[in-house]
Amino acid sequence: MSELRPTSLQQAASLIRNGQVSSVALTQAAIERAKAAQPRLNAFIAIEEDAAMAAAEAADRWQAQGRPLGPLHGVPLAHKDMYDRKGMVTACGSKIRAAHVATATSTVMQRLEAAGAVSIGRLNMSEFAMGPTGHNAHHGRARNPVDPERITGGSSSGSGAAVGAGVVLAALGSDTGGSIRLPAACCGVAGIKPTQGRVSRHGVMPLSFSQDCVGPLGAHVEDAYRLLQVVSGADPHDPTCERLSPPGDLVDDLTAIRIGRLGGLFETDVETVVADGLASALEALEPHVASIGGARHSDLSAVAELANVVAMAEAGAVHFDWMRERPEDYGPQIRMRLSQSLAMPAPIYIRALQTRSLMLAEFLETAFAAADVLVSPVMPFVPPRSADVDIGASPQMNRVVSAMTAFTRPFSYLGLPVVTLPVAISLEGLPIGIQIIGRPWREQQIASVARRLERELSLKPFMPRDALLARLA
Amino acid sequence: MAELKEIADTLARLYWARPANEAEMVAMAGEMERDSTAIAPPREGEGNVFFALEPSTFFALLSKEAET
Repeated sequence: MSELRPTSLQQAASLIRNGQVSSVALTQAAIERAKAAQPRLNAFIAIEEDAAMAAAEAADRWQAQGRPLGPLHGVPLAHKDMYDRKGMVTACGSKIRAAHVATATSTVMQRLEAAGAVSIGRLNMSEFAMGPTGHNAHHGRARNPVDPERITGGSSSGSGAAVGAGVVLAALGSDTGGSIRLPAACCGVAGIKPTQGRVSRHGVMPLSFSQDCVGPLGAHVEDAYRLLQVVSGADPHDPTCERLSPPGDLVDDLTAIRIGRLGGLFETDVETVVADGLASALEALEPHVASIGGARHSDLSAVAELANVVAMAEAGAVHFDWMRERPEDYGPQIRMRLSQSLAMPAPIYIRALQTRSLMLAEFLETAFAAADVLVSPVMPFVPPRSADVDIGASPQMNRVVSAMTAFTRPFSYLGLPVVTLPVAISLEGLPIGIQIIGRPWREQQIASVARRLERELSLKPFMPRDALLARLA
Repeated sequence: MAELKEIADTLARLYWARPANEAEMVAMAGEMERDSTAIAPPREGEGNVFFALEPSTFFALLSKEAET
């Protein structure tokens, strides 16, 4: 570990707290990494060097004055381009909002600032957080640090790339149908989609009110979880945010936990290398938990269309005026997807919402009857090549979106918390990620399982492909 | 499909005061086709289960879980 390249958020915060390194030095190092990686990864929409260095200097002054320090004091991070900060641009990866200056700071950014974190810039994303592949017609796609020919996944594409490349240790993303979990899986890092309503969305770009979740990506499970703890909790500015305290610290004792492997949809058309990765993960976990078995659960194959209707009907309302007045300012794929909203009669949208409560009740009753925690792959295949899924506004759009989100969308629709982590590497050197799913509000439980698994598998942060291949060799 | 594309274009002209482009018409027509078969039919083996089901039940279920 170099002092300028700590391997965890906890370590970074400790180094600063103990005076072994300054926030200025750590922030400058992160900015240098961001600049160096930008031509290769395109992870950032904007590197905000001046603001970041001013914040780091202020953090060092604060510490020198002997004032109390937050848990992330002076630690450089970066976040998806959709979190408002007063007086700063939040462009949502779009052309339409490219010059939008926020008039207030979002609750999550306020909490990060209160914890002492420094933001070094705005990360690339799919335009308006729509797009599981991470392509962006205006800014270009972020590139996967493991293999630049592969997609990062989306929509939190820059978050996956920046954390995967080690530019920052953690970043906020957002997830409406897989937008944290897919980039985490493709870039070989950890991600957490919290329970619907766990984290405030005040000052956050909306996409689908019913399914939007703010959550973290981190180099390790613990990094992502620490960020989740900082940003979660009740918020008077967001009445949809549940009045709960942040989730408690991770636990080591998992001996009472029953693990259930999801079947049906989640075993359909899964590549062998992905199925093997999941199997080896469960094998590693087995000695530490009460039991591992197949989970019986209700059929979720109808979710893809239901979740899409909810997401696009709501996104269509969010974007109605611009779709009427500035359609040409959207990228072709986003314009095409948003147009779907006009073809959804209100009873169909409401039916999709009604079905959601029925399915949640059924799923809680069946899947969690004999299991506390469920597992499945994140995707049925390894991260695809960009060229294979760069379909723009082609009629294939719906097929690609459905394939990418087949395993992630169900848990957005059901509002359940999910932790994603890499558990294996394919022979091509590509990360294979799994989902660990819990009952509502059980983030502590599923992240504790994920951390144990991570430790057991002795995973290191994924490095660029050459290093991975060398290690495999 | 041609008929659905025509409907799509009519909806765009009506609500967005502009015609739909070809990609939009294809997307809207596809959406109508999928939803009419995937969402419109009654849930198998059940009557009008949605008659008195409020969508907010979903969030009530989540909140109830928060109490446990």
